[in-house]
Amino acid sequence: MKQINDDLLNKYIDGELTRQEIDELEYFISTDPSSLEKLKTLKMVDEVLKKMQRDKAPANVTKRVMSQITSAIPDKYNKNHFFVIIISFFVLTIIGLLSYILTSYVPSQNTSSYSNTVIEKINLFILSGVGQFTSIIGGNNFHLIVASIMLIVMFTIYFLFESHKSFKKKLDSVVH
Amino acid sequence: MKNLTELEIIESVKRGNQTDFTLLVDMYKDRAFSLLKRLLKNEMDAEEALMDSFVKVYKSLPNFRFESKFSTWFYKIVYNTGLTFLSSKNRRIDNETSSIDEYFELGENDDEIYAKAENGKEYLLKLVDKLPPRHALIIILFYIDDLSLNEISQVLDLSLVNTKVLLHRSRNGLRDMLLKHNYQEEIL
Repeated sequence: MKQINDDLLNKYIDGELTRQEIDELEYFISTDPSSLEKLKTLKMVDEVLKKMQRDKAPANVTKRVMSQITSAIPDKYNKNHFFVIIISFFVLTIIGLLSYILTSYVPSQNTSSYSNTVIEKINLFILSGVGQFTSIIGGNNFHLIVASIMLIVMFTIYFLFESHKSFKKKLDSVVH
Repeated sequence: MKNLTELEIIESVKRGNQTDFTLLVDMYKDRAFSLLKRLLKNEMDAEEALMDSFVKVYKSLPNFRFESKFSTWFYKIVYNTGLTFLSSKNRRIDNETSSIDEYFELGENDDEIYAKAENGKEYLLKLVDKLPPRHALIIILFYIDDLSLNEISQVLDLSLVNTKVLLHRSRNGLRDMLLKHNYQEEIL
């Protein structure tokens, strides 16, 4: 066995020695009162520390933590509702715009020969193609449509930016 | 009071049930406070850091993916909050991420502690409070919170070997002080 040192005594306390190493240590230690005293005191330290009690946190901590959380962090559900409302608004706007475009640019002379289903209107819209598009550009509604699309794009970019920012914040809070 | 397991509480809070977080606070407040008190060496600072820690835990909970034990993840946040608190007060633990060559001399306040202690046990417990922050933390995490050395190494961001060395040094330091005052006689 190597010389008896503190590392070996600590391993003995933590039960990290093999049976053979324990036997050797116990033999050597029985011939060395100074090491025996060290080991016994180390055992005492270990036993006292095992019986240590936790400190009690101040009595009103839970209440204070919850009020801090409530004031600092908006309710998750309210936040979700807000997002649902905003997203619903944009989806409805886009649907409205598409419907408006579809109903506005289907040639009126052909209306009777076509069914009124949306799919057929979409087909008709695609088929009417470039000629119809030119008439849109030439029409008075062009500015209104472009402005609406720009508005939607701007809001979308803003929300993408905001969600990216909150994601980064969450990431930082985990790292730190 | 609801009777939920730790896992159920975490999942409930993640689903948005904010009030269930009180259960988690009740479960962990004493552990976190014990740790912060040893780290910051001051009850008022520990209380303030405790509040910050729980707010951080709440904010970060949606990102907890159960990849480690919740307690390890929790203590890591508490420990990092304590370190941030120390640096904001212009106190810091020397190179806390790697070095463990933190010299400590328990004899500095020994006369005062020895005079106040009635027996070896009381003397020993008072000495723990005088250990340098990481030495004291390792004692708390290992003996009171029952964390394995592997978990402690994750919390303190140390290698497993260094964590073990730190634990041994802490115990040896306490033992040497007991030997100095012949307290070992009480049990030998």
